[in-house]
Amino acid sequence: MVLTLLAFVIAALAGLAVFMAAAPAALLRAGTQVCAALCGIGAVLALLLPLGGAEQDVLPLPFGLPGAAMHLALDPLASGFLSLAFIAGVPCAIFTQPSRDTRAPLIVLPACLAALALVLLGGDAVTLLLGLLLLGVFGWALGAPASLFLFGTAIGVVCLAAAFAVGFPGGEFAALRALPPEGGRADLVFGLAVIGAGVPLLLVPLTIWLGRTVEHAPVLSAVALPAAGFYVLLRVLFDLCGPVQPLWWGAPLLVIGAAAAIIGAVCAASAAEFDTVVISGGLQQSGLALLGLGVALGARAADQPALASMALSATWLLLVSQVLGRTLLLICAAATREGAGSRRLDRLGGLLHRMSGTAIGLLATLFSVVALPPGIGFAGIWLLFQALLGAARIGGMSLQALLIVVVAASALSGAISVMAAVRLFGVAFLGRPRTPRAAVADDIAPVQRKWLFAAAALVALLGLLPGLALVPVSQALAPLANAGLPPPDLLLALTTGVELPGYAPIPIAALLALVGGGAWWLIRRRTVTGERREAAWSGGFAPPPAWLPFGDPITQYNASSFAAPLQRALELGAATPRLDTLRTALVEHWRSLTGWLVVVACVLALWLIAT
Amino acid sequence: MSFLVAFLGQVLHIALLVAAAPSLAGYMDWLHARLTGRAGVSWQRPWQNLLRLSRKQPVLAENASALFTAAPLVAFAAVAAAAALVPSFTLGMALAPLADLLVLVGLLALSRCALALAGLDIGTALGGMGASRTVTYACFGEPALLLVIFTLGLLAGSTNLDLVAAMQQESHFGWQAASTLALAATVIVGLVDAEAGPLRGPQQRAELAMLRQAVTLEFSGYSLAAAEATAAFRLLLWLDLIVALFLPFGMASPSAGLTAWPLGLLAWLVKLLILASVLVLSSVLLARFRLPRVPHLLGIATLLALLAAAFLFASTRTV
Repeated sequence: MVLTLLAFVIAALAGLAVFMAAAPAALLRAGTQVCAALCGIGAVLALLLPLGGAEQDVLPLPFGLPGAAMHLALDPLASGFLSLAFIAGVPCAIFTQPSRDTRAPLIVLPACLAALALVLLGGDAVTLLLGLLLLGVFGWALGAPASLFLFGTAIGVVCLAAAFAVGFPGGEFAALRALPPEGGRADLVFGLAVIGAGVPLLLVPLTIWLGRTVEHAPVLSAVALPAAGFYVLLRVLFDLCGPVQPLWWGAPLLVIGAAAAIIGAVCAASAAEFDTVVISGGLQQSGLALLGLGVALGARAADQPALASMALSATWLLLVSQVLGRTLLLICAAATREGAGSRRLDRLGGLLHRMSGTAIGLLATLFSVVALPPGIGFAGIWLLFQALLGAARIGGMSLQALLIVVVAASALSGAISVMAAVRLFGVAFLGRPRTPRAAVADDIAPVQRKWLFAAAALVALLGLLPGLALVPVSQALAPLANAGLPPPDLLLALTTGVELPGYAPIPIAALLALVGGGAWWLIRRRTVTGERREAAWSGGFAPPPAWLPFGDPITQYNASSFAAPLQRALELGAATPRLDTLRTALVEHWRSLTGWLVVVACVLALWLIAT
Repeated sequence: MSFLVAFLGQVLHIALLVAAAPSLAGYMDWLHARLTGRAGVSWQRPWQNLLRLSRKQPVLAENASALFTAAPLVAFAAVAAAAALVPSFTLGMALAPLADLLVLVGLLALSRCALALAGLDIGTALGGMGASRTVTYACFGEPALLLVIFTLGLLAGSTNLDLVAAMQQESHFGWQAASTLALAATVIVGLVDAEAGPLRGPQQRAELAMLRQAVTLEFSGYSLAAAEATAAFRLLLWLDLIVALFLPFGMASPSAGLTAWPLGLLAWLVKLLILASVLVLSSVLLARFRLPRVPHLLGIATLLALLAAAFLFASTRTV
């Protein structure tokens, strides 16, 4: 019943996409509101299963490819991801503005959500792959380079198709689960699935790195692609591949995750544009979440279901913080671009005074997402660290050596991402305006400001109650971790064992509020009331001449000077020219390269299916 | 009953903290002056400064925002809350279940971020420089610190500070290689974070050599008082943390009750004075560490922490 209703929601979203393409301009605003309402309905429906109001279900679709019937299937994992996607879809819909130039974002918004729902609810390989393919097409429709998005998605889909063909010949997921692949076939499935799931996670960061401009629709960059990537990894590696895997499967994920976390953090800390900082930060969080998956795979192989469950919970918390947080951050980025006329950090500055609504929403979200207590990002990293600590007990010396490096890498990336957050807010929203345009910036509309605050408050609330964020997957993670029992109740505090003290965000927040409030009260009692405003002292330097109304812009730290000490210390200066050469070569030969890759992948897939 | 003792211990700890933080800063200033051949001012001077500054009317830059006035208080709240969690003379205080080492690291980072944002708010060159240096150098300290926590957490089975300290106490201070290396790494990270010892900030106006001090150049009135109190609490927090993690002898255990407190208090005071004196001596005897080389120093700390973890794994393998 619930699945049928969800299918209707998907159909309605697809219909809405067609409507957006054809409707008169006056109705577009109403269209986004309908989309937000559909997202709300979909989130409620998807949450029914984990809350106990629905049953697992399979629904055959009345259409499909010849010889491969398509199914929708509702199970705990799908419903958890679906509820997250629909909840994040609500702010995406509310903040998508009809513009005079293009309708693409309006069309892609419902279409993208429908395609993602197809991926998540797909009960067989064909439906899942069709949804993934559509996501790539929509990215291209938003103006992303065709060669990258279409060919990249094609590579991912072909790899996944090969994985399904090798590991699970024919049939729907329910039948495949009974016959998991073994030995060399399983290893091949692992490799192909990691590449196939890595494509959605890497597409947008790669586009940015190659220097192509892309309109960052939050629904695609922050919601659909990360959710799809992690869902595919969980579905194939944890669900379909069965409970028994070799221990080494965790190691590649740990290495890839650590590398992605460092690269993403460094890019976020040195990027010149607002959107790039946000997207690179998303790559960093994806990397951390991959670390959780790696630990979970190892723990499953070592028969430690409690550890695997903890690692999967950490992954989920990081994913929630990534999807919800990056959605809001991209919305703030779009508001800044609209209001202040630029996405380059060095052309912004002092926006706090003119765009206070956006500034408050951005600051609250940034502090929730990065590794600062009591935010949801910190909760995820806390749990991840505990999982890494537990993983040190399962393996031999080589795994332990890897873990030491991974701990150092995740700590470095967490600290750099905090620096990136300070740099983003400090350069764009604090200080003095760097351009006349930034000095007359406009804030978002009051209605949107309320929605932004509500969404930021939800993210902050999830930080205080991390158990609330785990509710949608409460039933899904235990079977994936091979645990018989559901994980312990983590609503008020995250713990690693029954008798052990853990991390309790609410008392920490209360302590902070108590100390801060106490200090404030003391000061209010003592201090002379009122304040005096003077020109900035600025270390005693002479005040700027009168014809520089915002002071001398050159003396103010900007995005690149803020990042300079980090780049000097990491000695990125030497690496940059080589990276530039590599990038130029890639941009020049990308088309032929991807063409060859697709051909090779197709031949490989055909050969595998034939044998 | 035991809860009452825990609560009493917590209250006494917080009272001691408030009393000790500015006094310790005053003692260190006095000792530094004596050792460099000056008469020095009384150890009460930080107290007088705090009282004087908190009475003054704040003078703000024209373009200062609300964040500029709130941030010093947030920074102070984060550091003071963290300091309240680190045990001083007794284990098993009422807030001990909250005293997770990762939370302490997070609270220190929160305080650093709040100060950095305040430094950027006016848009002056020196404020931006201080903010950039503060958060950048923290990036290199974090891996070392988390590796130390990783090592100690493996030994104790938890990252809770009370459990780690109890474990160190029970192991009869067996100075294993892992513990010694971890201590060295923690000391380096603490020195950089608290700007103590050879990294002690310039006492005269030498803005280009400043780390976190440059952020506070535009502060006045209670903001400056909050910033100075934050610095004092931060130093005390690091000393307490090093004592609790690596030198917990004399610390009263929760089961011993009130009778062990006098010894615990005495041991804490003696350890604090010795460590503070060593810090001052090192800042007098050693040349001031050049700021551009701080990342190298923190890199060494990370290597030491890596070695500590490796030693731990190697030693558990042979047993």
